[in-house]
Amino acid sequence: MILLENISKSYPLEEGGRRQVFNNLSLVIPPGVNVGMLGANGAGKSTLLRLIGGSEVPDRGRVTGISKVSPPFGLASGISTAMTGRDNVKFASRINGDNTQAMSERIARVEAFAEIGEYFLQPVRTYSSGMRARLAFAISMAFDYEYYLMDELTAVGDRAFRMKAEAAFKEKRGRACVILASHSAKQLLAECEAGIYVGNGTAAYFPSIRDAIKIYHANES
Amino acid sequence: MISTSVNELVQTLGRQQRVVYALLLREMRNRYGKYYLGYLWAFIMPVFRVAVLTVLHALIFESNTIYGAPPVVFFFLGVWPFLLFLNAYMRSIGSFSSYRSLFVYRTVKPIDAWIAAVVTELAIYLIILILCYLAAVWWGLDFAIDKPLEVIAVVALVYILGATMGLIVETISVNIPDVGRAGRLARRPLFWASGVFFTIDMLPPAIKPYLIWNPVLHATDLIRGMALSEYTPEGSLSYLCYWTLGMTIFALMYYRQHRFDVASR
Repeated sequence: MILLENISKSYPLEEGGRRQVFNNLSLVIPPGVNVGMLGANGAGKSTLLRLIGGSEVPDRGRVTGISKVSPPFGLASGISTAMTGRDNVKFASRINGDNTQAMSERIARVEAFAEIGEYFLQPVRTYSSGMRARLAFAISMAFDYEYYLMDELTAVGDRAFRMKAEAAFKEKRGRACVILASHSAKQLLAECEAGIYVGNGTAAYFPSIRDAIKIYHANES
Repeated sequence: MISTSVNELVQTLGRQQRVVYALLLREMRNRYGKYYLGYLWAFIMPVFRVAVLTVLHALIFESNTIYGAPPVVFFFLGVWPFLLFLNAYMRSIGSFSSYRSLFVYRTVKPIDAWIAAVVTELAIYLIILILCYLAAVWWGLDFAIDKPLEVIAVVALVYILGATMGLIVETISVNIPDVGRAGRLARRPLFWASGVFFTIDMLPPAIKPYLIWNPVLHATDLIRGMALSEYTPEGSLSYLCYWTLGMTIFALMYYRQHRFDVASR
């Protein structure tokens, strides 16, 4: 269960002033459901994920009821491009407080799951976006969270990767949920029961993902 | 009640220590890992500067001692504290941006990246200092330091001064990137104005009243005074103290006020 109460969030703009992303947003995400998040580019999906994941603090309001939530993994967040894939795993493992044995298990798990071959020992900046997605996804899956936050991560992978991601979600079902930001209605229908539509400075929760997709399509056209 | 908050504090510190340690290991590898000569570069840079100054001195002046010491020693005593300051300052600028993608982890804060950068730099420089000293002794340039504790105090103060000034520039440059660029430009004027190759005593009366405001000049002057028996320093330890204390307080307050902006950029 995740509770957002009266959240306001703005960012400073380079030319001065601030851009208001959310104003007085309240949202309840009930326990035990997988949630798909929809919205136009720049509507604030990533910001909402970052607020839920605790990577950011709202200007006003609070996020409570948080169980163990992963940081929002995306193509540009959660992994450092200057480091190798392996070093990224080590970093995540160290800040998690693993001992040496747990760390080597973690590395083995991620390497096996990501399937990026020799690139695992190369800096992430040399990766294709599909490979980055594989690595970020594998790292997040190597840790036990109650909520996995994914920012457009599963959209860039090839078919094999998507199948693998789906299987991983299925395997975690019952113990953990995912909150998935994506533009692919097909994928969201397959993975999620509920939906959140983000737009116009606010966000709304729908118990059925179909309703969220309908609103999204209605606002798009 | 009290015991729970103490427990929380201990847990929080433990978490932060893990984060800083993880970032520190990154820093170590990122810094020199990509060069063939690796950490040797950290040794070559100060040695090169001292060598250039010594050769220039030999070409321009006839004397082969300054305040009774060989020129090599005189320049070494200026270059080393100055580079300590400069590196703390320059490394702090940009310390946030290189780890930005990792700030999504709830426990990883920009200031941890700054601490990691600053501690790494200090560790490298202390090792170089020891190597230089051993090299000097082996060379036969034996110079005793009368007041080791005061040397340590000056070194610590000038290092913290550089690091906190860099933290201020880095925090401002999150919102105004030009400040980061401008901050980097300060390196050359600082080199000329910080007593790398002169003492306060040598300054002509026309510019002395202006340069004397520079706290780094006081640091190099104090170090020379402690190591060269024939030089009585004009630098003031308390002046350096006030600067460092003021900068530290201001930097931490300013960072605290802007910490959320920093994390979100």
